Amino acid sequence: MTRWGMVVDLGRCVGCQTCTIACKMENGLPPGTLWRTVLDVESGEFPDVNRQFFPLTCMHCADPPCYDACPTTATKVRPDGIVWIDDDICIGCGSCVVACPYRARHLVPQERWYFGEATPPERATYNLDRVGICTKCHFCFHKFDEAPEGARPGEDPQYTPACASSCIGDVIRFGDLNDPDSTVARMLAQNGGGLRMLEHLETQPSVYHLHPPRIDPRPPERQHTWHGLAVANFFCGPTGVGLYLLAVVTGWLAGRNAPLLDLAHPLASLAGWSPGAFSPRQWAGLLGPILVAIGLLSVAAEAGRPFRGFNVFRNLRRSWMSRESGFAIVFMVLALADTLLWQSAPVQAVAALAGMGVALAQGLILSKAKGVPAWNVRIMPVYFIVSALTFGCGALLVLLALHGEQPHEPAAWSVLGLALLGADLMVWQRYLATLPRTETFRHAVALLRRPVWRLVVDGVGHLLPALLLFIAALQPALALPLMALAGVCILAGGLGARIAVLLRAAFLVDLFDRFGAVTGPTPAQVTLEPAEATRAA
Amino acid sequence: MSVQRIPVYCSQCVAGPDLIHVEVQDGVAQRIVPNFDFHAEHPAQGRVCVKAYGLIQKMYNPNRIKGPLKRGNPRKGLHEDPQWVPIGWDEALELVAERLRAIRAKGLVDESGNPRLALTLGQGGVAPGYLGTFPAFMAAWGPLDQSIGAGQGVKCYHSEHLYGEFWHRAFIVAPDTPLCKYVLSFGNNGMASSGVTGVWRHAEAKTRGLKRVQVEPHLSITGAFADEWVPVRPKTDAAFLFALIHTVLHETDWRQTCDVPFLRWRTNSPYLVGPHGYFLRDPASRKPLIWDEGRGAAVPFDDPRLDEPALTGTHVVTGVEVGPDGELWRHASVEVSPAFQRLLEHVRPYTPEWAAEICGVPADRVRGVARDYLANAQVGETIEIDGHTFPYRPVAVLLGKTVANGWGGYEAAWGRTVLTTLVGALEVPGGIVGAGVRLNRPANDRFKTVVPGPDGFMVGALNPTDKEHWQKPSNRSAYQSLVPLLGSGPWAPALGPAHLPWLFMDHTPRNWPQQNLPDVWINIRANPAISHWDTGQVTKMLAEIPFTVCFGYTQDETNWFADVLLPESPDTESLQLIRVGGAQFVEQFWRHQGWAIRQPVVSQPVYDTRDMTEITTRIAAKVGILEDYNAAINRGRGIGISLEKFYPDGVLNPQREYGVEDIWDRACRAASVEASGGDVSHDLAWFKEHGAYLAPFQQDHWYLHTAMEAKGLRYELPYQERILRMGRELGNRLHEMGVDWWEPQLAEYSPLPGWKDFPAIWEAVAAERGKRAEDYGLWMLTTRSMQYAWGSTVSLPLMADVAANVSTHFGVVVNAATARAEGIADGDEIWVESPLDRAKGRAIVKQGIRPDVILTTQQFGHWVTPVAKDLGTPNLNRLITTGLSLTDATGSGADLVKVRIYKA
Repeated sequence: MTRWGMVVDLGRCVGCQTCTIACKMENGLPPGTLWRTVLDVESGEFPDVNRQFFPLTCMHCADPPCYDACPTTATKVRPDGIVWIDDDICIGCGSCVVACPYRARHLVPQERWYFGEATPPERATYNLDRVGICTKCHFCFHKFDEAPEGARPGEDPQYTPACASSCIGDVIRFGDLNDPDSTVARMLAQNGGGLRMLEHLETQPSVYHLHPPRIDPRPPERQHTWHGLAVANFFCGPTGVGLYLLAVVTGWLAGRNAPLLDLAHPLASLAGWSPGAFSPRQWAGLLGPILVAIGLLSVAAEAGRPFRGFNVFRNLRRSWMSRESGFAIVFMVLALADTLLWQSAPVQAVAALAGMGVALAQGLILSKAKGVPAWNVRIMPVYFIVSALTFGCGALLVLLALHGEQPHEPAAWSVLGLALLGADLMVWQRYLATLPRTETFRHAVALLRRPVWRLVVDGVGHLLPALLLFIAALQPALALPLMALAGVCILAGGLGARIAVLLRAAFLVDLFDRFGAVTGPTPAQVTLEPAEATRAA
Repeated sequence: MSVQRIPVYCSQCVAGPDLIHVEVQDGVAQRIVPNFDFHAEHPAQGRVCVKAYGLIQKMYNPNRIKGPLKRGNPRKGLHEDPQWVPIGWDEALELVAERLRAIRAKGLVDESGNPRLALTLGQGGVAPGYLGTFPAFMAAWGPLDQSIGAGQGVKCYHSEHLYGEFWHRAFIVAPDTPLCKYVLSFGNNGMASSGVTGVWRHAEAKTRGLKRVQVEPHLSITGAFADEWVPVRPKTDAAFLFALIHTVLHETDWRQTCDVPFLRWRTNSPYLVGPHGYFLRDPASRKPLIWDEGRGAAVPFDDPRLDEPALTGTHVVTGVEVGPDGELWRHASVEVSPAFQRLLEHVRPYTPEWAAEICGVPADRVRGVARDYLANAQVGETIEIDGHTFPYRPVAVLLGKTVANGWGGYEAAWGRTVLTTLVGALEVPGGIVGAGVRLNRPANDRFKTVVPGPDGFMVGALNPTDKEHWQKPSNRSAYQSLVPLLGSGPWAPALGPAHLPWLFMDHTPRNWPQQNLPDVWINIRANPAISHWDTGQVTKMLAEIPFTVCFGYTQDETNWFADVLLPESPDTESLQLIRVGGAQFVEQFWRHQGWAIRQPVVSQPVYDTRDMTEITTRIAAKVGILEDYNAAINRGRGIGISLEKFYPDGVLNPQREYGVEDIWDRACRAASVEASGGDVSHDLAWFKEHGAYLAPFQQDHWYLHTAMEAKGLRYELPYQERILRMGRELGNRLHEMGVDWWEPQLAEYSPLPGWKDFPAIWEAVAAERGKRAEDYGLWMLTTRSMQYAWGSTVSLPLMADVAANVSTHFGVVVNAATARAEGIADGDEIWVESPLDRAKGRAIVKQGIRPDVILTTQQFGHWVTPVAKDLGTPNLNRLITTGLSLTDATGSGADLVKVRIYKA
């Protein structure tokens, strides 16, 4: 079966950007959007310097991380290996952007014109359906899909992707990697196979490079796909589900043993309501789903096409973002219904489990984001579960204190809090000690180990609240204010940790990490699993 | 409606034209794609340059000048808003014609002998591809001053152009890349400047195994492509080249390593040189003498019995020397040596150790380059091409800008050409070949310019320097008077000391005719306020010119001073036919040649613009020179092909005003007749449909060797007797006028150029301006950008979008160590200050540049041109002074200036 791919001869490239501009023209791309580019990369120190031009595009991976990440099924993989986006489905959530280690996906947040207003050719060629969604290279498949019998994509310029047919150095060659007679296959055979970028990330690219130069590690760049609203989701969601879980579990415990706090009255009536009318437990039952909802709304606000938001559930089979949304819906519906109507332990149990599903899914979204090494670590889901409980504990402590009723067993709260803080700190330290797969991760960890983040995460987020809870256990009279303060510290430190991980340490993987140091299989050894290949619409 | 593909050409730089298709749908031009119809004929499979893809945006750019404008504000100045008033075409052309008629009434030249009408064409050598029939207007007009420059001369490969044409009819030099194995490049940035065919050929050659060594102060685009980078001090390239020649001649057995038969029979190496430095000649025939070792006697160079020309030794000979202005020295039994012996002596002191000190490059590296060069030269080998056996010498030495122009340019060009000559790699397969002629004629056939002269060399289009024929100043740069090598063809004014008029119009130099401003200055697509040195001087003069007509695309820094602003229809909106293929500029070496068309791609221009041919015809009629204008077209001016010769049935009736399509239809017929040798005659409709007509072109026509062999001629190398004589004669002429300000330039005319401290010439600028040289410790240089070269794309945001990927764009490149020492971080705003002025830009901190050098790309620093003015790149021109001290004998300068930098 055909597998389209490219062979890029780096020795021939002069960085002219003809491929870049030809691609823009062929695909009607708006200002600032380059589906492909030619990087200008300098290595070494004067006078021993190497300057290399490096064409970069979508790798059309055989195992594309974007495909799994996409919650909407907008990202498709064709049987011939082309990874493409169905413009009508994509919601512009950006999860594929951070999943892609090759920076090949481009969100187009709003309508943009070169001169402020559209010129006639822009209006004619710019596809407005692509506003608000993610866009990417599709090997110009429109140029050869409709080609007549006998057409030779890769050889006949009119049926060849614009970059390859325009390249003035004949740097970029396109063709069928599975056809041993194709130019690309022959070039690879003659050159000992060629190299693929970030081979160790096991994405199995369809783009091979010849004559790799020496390339030093690049200065790290931060991801700029997800911002504060994403932090809101990754903080509020876990806090909400953690809060809910701890509230119901401690409730059960109190019900069976000594009551820790006055358990829920059924909601008497909404009329005549005052905050004090709700117990911390009731508050948790309300706030848990509300926090998760805030998280989801934040994500929706960050997505380019929020009104297509329902599409987020389309890829429950593969995408952890779909699953996160699914868990979140189950959690919110059950938790809220239970809080308002039922107060049934089995329902609470299911809701709490779904809640943990939200935290787990969030951890897995990050854990599978190959574009951001600080996220792309195995421990991330564990960290999200533990931190969800820790944050939840912090929130519950604040609620208890606000309620003002002296807890029956303040020491029990301290023990719970200390246990969670200990576990959370341990997981955090384990995260920082993760064996780096990339240089970029090493850099991210170095940043997270800086005093400012130690102060925020270790100090404010863990040690200080631990100390406060310890004192609270010894001094029951001071328990309430100390618990409140500890709760605030846990939440502040937790938010800080989220900002640190999601924004500050979120460096994009160095495109040239271990380039040339790891060699992969030849094209003949790479096959697309038919089950993973979906037909083009 | 289906997509129509309209064939046109892109000639936005001299490395084209590129043949393209414009895809049009529903009356809107939407895309540029390469014209793959010529996939087989085109040397790069029909692919086109990045700039061509900007043509759509160029057409629909809302910042274009949308119709004729006249100035509303009578005052002119940097801060005087022109207050444009939109007017109709009739009124605009009448405004222009009225001024032109006034000139004709008053007399075409002023009391100083300078034309009252001046004309400046922009974009270097690109203009002919866009001027329509305007050159016919120029021919019809009479004396016209084209010498006011917009940056040419001081910015081009000037010494290469002038000496290259003189020595081997090479207006520009290219490697015979498809066969070359080793390229030694001194700052030649061909991967940014040699266009699509250049890049294609070099990429193919690299895969084949060509090795490239790049000697330059910063790691350019081409340096990135090279195998080795040698970071040399600016303006010391000649020393490096001299040391290479020394190494070849004194550290190897040159009788083994050099191409001795070539030196003996194809150069002036065996010509005997007399005590005054002129060839020793036969007293009767005045032919230069050669010592024939076989017979032990001196014989005229063309003696048929000459058997073994001596290259070395001292011989006692009787003969005469002919000096300047016919001065004659008769020698009886004088000791003389062949030119080659003189060369051996001349380069003896130029050891690699000597060069190492000057160039900042280890001596071993120089020796290594010399060794590799000789190893690849394959002296003695031959190759068969088109049934002709050629010497095969796959080595090439290239020069770049700033190396081949300004002081030191002659020395570098000579050094390069002599190094090439030593191994016989001149104009043969694999070696260096000339690409096109511009000063000699006919411009479309290099071989026809190979005309034998009396001394066994080619005669060239030179300006005479003898008393009787020397031409007194008759235009504002006085190129015919000051630069003998230029000749006086259509390209000569642009290549003269075209920066001097800006200076001389302000202050006439001593004992020189009073230099007045032109009554009318027509400026077509030039922007000297940006592209010329000394922005302050240029803008001062622009404000003083009484009447300025600008053909403009957008509002820019120069047409800000215009009285009338005319927007001609650009690339994809107007009609023209030009030559394509053959062996032309930079690396356009085709196996086909012919003609290509540019045509309007949509039925109506986007704005109220007119075709240049229509504008020209109207002005010619209004001015009353229609008859001469039509006659000039009949001779081929403007349309590039003689109707009289190739389409006599179609010659224009001199009295009639012809339409655009009518004129070009005739041109199409004549051109196709010429290209096909009379086999076909295609009309305009045919060209509009097919885009181009091509006929085969023999590869043996790439190499001048074919013509030199056929005519038994020698290259005038290594010894420069004629240069010496013309310099002395020119000195005599100027001294007769009392001119004493051209003395340093006169000293450049030497038969064997030697090393002078060229960097010191620039270092002295600070003292000239009352500043301390040590305060300006950095060299500022410029580099080429393929996306912006020739400037026609600076106002296109699309181009900025993709150009930003090339890291040296939009800022000032500073070496990392230098930046650290100055406390400058990547991205910081910095000031670059020269003794003249200062300019601001963003620091781009890199390792690939010498610590004593900073670099900026192209020429930006715009303050009016839309888009360009927001790109944050300083312009070297603002920092450099236009002066005689930085002007070499060919009338050129170089883009470098001593500066200091500090954080803004």
